[in-house]
Parts: sequence; structure tokens; C-alpha cells
Amino acid sequence: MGDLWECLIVDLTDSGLVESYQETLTQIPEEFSLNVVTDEATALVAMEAGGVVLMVILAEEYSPDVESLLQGYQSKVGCLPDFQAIVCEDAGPRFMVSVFEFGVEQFWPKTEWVERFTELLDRTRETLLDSETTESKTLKVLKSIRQADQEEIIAGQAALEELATYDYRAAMARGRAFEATSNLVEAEAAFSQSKNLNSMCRSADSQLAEVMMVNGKTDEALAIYSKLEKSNPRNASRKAALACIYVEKGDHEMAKKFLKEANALSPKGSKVQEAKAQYYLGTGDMGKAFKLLDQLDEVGPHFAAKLNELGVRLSQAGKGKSALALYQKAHKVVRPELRYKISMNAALACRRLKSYEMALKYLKRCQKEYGKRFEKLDKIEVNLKALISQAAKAGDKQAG
Amino acid sequence: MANIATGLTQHTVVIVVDKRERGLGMQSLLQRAGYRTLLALSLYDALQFVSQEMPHLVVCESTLSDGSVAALYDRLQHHQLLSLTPIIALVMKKTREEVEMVRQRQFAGFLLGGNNFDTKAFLVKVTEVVRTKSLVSPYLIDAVKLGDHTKFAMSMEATVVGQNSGQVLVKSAMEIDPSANLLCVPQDQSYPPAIFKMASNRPVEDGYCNSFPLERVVGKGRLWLEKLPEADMNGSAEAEEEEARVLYYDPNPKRFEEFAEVFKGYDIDLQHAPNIQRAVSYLKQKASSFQCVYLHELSTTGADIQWKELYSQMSVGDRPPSIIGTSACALKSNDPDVQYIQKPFGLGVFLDMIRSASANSAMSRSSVELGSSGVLANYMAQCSLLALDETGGILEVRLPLLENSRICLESPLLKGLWGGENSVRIVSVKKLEGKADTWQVRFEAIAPGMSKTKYWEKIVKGLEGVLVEPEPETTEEESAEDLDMQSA
Repeated sequence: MGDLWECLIVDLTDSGLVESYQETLTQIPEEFSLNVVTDEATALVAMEAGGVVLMVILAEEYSPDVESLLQGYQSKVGCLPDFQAIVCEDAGPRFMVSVFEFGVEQFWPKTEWVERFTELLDRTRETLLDSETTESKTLKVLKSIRQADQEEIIAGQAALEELATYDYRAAMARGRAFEATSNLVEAEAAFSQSKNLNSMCRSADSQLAEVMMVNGKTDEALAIYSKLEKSNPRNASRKAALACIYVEKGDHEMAKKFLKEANALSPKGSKVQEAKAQYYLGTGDMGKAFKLLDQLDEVGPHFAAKLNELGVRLSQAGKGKSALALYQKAHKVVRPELRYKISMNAALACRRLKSYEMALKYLKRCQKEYGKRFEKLDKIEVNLKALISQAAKAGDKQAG
Repeated sequence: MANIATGLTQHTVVIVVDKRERGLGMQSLLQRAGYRTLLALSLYDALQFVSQEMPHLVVCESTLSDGSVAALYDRLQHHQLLSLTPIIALVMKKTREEVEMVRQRQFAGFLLGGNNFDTKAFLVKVTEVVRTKSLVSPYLIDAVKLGDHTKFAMSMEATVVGQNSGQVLVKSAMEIDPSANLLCVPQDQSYPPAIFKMASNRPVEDGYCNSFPLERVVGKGRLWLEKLPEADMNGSAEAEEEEARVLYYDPNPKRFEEFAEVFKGYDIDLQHAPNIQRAVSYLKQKASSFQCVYLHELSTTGADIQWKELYSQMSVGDRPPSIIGTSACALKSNDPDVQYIQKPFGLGVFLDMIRSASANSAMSRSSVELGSSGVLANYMAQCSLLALDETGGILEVRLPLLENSRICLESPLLKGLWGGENSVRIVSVKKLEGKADTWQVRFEAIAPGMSKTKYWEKIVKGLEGVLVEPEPETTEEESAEDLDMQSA
């Protein structure tokens, strides 16, 4: 048997509920391992490690920590709402609607949570032992995205093709796989397919809007976010996304308004910080933007595209060193599967600076991050080698 | 022996007395405690009843007009099947003769009858004997003895007839529990199967219309389900266009405001009733203007009874379907218009319930034509046979089934025993304690009017050569001994 499937229990309540069931909880099927944590940061580290399959959150109300956990699960594990649950006494409408942003619908009463957990383990075991299920394939493709294994990601896209015609979760995972290989047109189509298969899947809507922004369809993205905003006007991430759209549209007043609202809801939220940085970049306040970049953990595809775009602009304007400084910061915050692009752009900036050896080093990193060579990389390398050889000849001539 | 839930079987007790008056008292006492009872006034009647009914217990007075409890015992002992029937002897006179008669036979218990009859002790004794001798039935065959024949599929015939307002419509002979996840396998294999969830039911001619939200369907079958034709709505197409209006009873105004805000985003308008009296008044005056009712809580006391009475008096087409919030697990309603939702619940589930209820309500009002054509299919699920008894047996299933529904058991062994038939009726359903998704159901396979003894004789005969004796469980001590022997 391979790696164990990790069940993450995040107790944000200090109620001692987990301790009191310690004995029962340790008797889980042998395919699983149990990880009980009491804070969001440790939970995110566990998810980053890649083994998490199930997540159960014990929380009495919705909080930025709960949001961060659900966000973390979605981006690091996948869109698998059935593998997540909330344990609480009474969920108010705002709690319900907030977790529903991530598709999560399982609320377990405290008196029954261990029973339900055991049942979920059995169901999950049954599902994951079959490698052909949507859940197995989603976990696999998301894992390959986390590992930035481009070949596996492409294989995952193909493996999910048929499932994605009738299962919104498969379509979502496929969209993520296309996004990770920068095939943003296909990504948009896949997220749109997911949304059509499950009109209530808010995550599909949000992902679709985000990729539309990258594809320059700002108005369409705005329409989607505005509709979502109607049913839940208390989502910090969406308000942050709306702020970014208005930055894009040059409407800084509206951007500021949404940023303020997002900040009030979740001042430390990663999406809010990202939107702030984007706002500063948009308004030309580079100093503040760079400072914020240092505090970010991981940014979405839209911001990653913005950083690349800005770097290219700086490089083209002859500010190669600034571009390289930006790429250095950007490389730390973009998702692993998108880092190769930053490295490639850094190589091109070095080329413009005539720092060819450095450019080759960046290209090497790019290849490593992508997992293999690709056409564009080959072309740049050929060009760089020619330039190095030309420079060497010119040097010889000068010496001669 | 499998762990079988208590309360699955309604036990039958035959009371044999010399004087009717004494029997009536016992009968009423046992009926109040949930037993089915039969009263025999002679040994002859008692033997008739026992052979017809195969009771789970016989309570018999020591002396009868045409015999005695000893005679009853001796006669049953000579019968291969009925010898297992437990008997409680009621000693009437406590004479040496009577005491000796009881002592010489292995009765399941004995009590003082006549003037010394103690009702409390009687009830305790009956409960104790039933629990130890016939928890399910004294004739029970543990499925362990059936070897590999205990796991098989169960199926129910259904016809997928169309869709309406995002609901897949299926005609079947049974109601489907809303919490069941059901595999639907079309008989034409060119249609792939699908898993249906979140059923709602509406009685129609010849059975039920089971509706399932299309967006909740899982599996490749969704591809053909999406292409199903829309069912005919007789003259109320505008009903689909309307914004759903829900009568919402909740004493907590803050919660109402929050729900109203959320639901507005889903085009659902809530009419708040802050108390049950107001809800009652809305129902009286404007029932037809609501597609659905949600009651955040409903007790069995005070004004809540008023609601229940009013609602049950209204005819099905005139009242909106209702959803009741509860903290109880797996609560079921006998009224097809009433559904329970366990709190806390997820938003999507709640929205789907409201939409399904509204769609069903609209379909009821416009008398949707379901037609008889469609895709013939079977609802299928895996089950485990726990035991067989004198009328049927006990199954363990991973989905809740509804009482009185009929299912087919796809077991070659059982089909053979039942002469090619495999349709059974669900008699009772219990959720297994400590398991969130396991139910046990008792079914009856005996044909109507058939003698239980004849049925059971046939089963026992059919099982000859099939039954295997389970190997005794090895205890730790025995294992240790084995090890000692090996080392020696």
C-alpha cells in the first residue's frame, strides 16, 4: 500500500470535543492517518505537504480562519465538498452561506459527529480504492499541480476529459489543470462547464470569473462576481476580487470601496492582501506594492499574470534590474505550477540586460520547474547560445 | 449472531386461558406494550393458533378445559419446527401436582396465575423471555449459516419518465427516503447508470412519482437524463416563472433577516411568521400564495398543535408542502407533503429541498402528465442478509427504506427458496445505533394467506445441505494453548 490518506481534524473551539473521542478516533481504517490540529496555520502546512484527503473543522461560527482553511483545501487538495465537514451546534445563515462558497454542505451536530466521521471514512475509503472515481482523479491531478509536474498535469487533463462532461467536480479539476499549464482558454471552458453542470457551485463561478479576468474578459467577470455578491455580500475574497476588477477597469474609487469592505471583513485574508498589492501596482505605488508582496503566501493566476505583465513592461522600458527584483519577489508568491513562467521572463530580462549566463541559469530553473523542455524554452536557449557565441567572437576580435 | 436492532419485529403472543375474562386483561396489557396477541380458550384452539401463526411466545394457564399446559408443551415437542416455541406457564393453584408438572418440563418461564396474578411481574417476565428466546423469532436462522449467500443486490422497478423544473421524474411503486443515495440502472444497457439523491415523493396513480434534483445526479447517466423531455404542465407554465415564495416561521428575527438576505440572492422571497399563530393565520388566509413552508422548529405542545391540525385538515392540493427543522436524526413523516431537515444543515441541501418542494407543489396543482412511457430502470443497492425467519427475514442496508414498500432481492438462493419469486414487502425499518448510515429492515416474503408453518417448512427443507455450521470463535486462551502445543 502507498501513502496513507490523511484526515485533518481542525478544532478551532477549545471545547475538548476531540480529546474526549480520542479512543474512537484512533480506531480508523488502516488506509488513513489522523492529524488533529488546533490552529489554521498548522493545518495549512499539513495541506501543503500533500497527503490530506479529508478535512473536518470544529467551529462555532464563520471566521477568517475557517475561510482560510476552506480556501486552502480547495487550492491544495481539490474541489471535493463531500470530503469536508463542519462540526457545530447551530449554524446560522451566514455561516451556512459562507461555507457554501466552497460547496461545503455537511454540517454535523456535536452529538453525532464521530458517527458521521466514521461513516465518511468508510465512504471515502470505498471511493478512493477505486482509481477511476472523480475523487481519485481529482486528488491525483491536484497533487501533480502542487508538485508542478507538467507531464502528470497534462495526463490528468486527459484522464478527466470524459468525467468532466457530467461531473462538475471533474470539470473543476480539469480547469485547474489547464490553468496550471497556462492553457487559459481551455481552463475557462472547463470552469464554464463545471458551472453549467452545477449552477449552485459558487467555486466554479469564482474560478471562471478569475480566469476570465486573466483572459481580459473583465466585464464578464464583473457580471459573475456581482451576481454572486447578491446571495452573499459578506465574502472578503470576492470583494477583493471585485476591487481587482475595478483596478483593471481604472475605476480606483470603486476599487477602494471594495477593498475597504474586504478589509473590514478579513483584514489579514490572503486574497485581501493580494488585492491591496494589486491596487498599489495599479495606482503606481510600487514601494507599497513590493512591501506587501513580501507578506503574501500564495497569489492567484490573475495576480501572477499581472506580475509577469509588469515585469515585462519594466524590462521593455529598460528597467531590467527593477524587473528582476520584481520577478524575484513574484517567484516566491506565485503557485508552484506557475513559477516556470516567472523564471522564463527573468531569463528574458537578463537577455535584455545582456547578462546571458545569468539568463541561461534562469532557463535551467524554468526547465526544472516545468518538468521538461518545451518549444519556447528551446528557442530562447538557442538564441542565448548564439548571443553568447557572438559575444565571445566580438570579445576575441576586440582582444585581437 | 449479528447485532439485530430491537423493535424490528412485532412479537406475536398466544394467550391460552380457561376463562375469557382472564385472557382479556392479559391481552390488553400486552397490546399496550406493543405485542400482537391472540386469545385461545382451549388446548385445541391453542394448537391451531400455534401451527398457523408460529408465535414468538405462548402464555398458557396450567389447566384448561380440554387439557393442560403440559399437554400443550408435550404436543409441541413432537413437532420438529414448533418445538422451539417458548412457553410461559401460569400456575393457577400452586398444588403439588401443578408444580411438579411445570418442574418436569423445560418451560421458558412460569408465573403464578389466578388470584395471585401480578401484572407487573407478568410483563417483566414476558419481556425477559421474548428478549432471550425470541428477540427476532425463536425460529430464526442466522445468516452466518448461509455462508456466501448473504450479500446481494436489492432492486426496485422504476420508469424514468421525464424532467420538470430541474427535477428528474421517476415513476415507481415506492416512496424514496430523502436521505437515500440510490443507484438507478436502466434496463437498456446503452443508457449508463446514475446515482440519485435527495428524493421527494408525490403519490400518483399506480404508485409514486419520485423526483430528484438533476444537478445532484452523480455518474455518467446524467448525460441521458439531461436530455429527457419536459413533462407536460397542464396550463400553468407561468408557475415556473414566478419567484418562489416561502412562508418562514422562526421566532428568532435576526436569523430570519439573515436568511431573507441570503434567499433573495436565489430569487426566493420569504414571508416571515415570528410566531406559530401568525403562521397559522397565513396558512388559513393565503395558503395558495406560498410554494413552500419552512418551520424552523415545531413542538408537540401549545399553538404548534393548532398548526398541525390545520395542516392535516387541508387537502393535499390546497396546502403548500412543508419542511420542518429538527435536531432529531432521520426523522420521517407519514405525510408526503411534510419533510424534516436535521439541524444544522447545509445551504445547498436546504435550497434544493425548497426547490423540490416548490416544483412538486406546482406539479400537483397543474396535474402534470407523467405518461407511461419512459426509460425502464431498476433502483439498486447492496444489502446484507442478517437472518431468515418464519415470514421473511432481516436485511442490513446502507440506505433508509420506507415501510410497506416492495423490493426485489437479487439472491439466487432466496429466489430458489421462494419458488422463483423475489419480491418482498418491507415491514419495519430501524436505524442502527452508533452508525450514521446503516439501517436494518424486516421484510416479509410469505404469500398472503399462506400458512406460516407451511412456508417455514418449505424454507427449512430448501436450506438442507446449504446451511453451514459457523466455526467457533477462537479465544485468546485457546490461541495461547495452541502455541504451547506447537512449541511442545
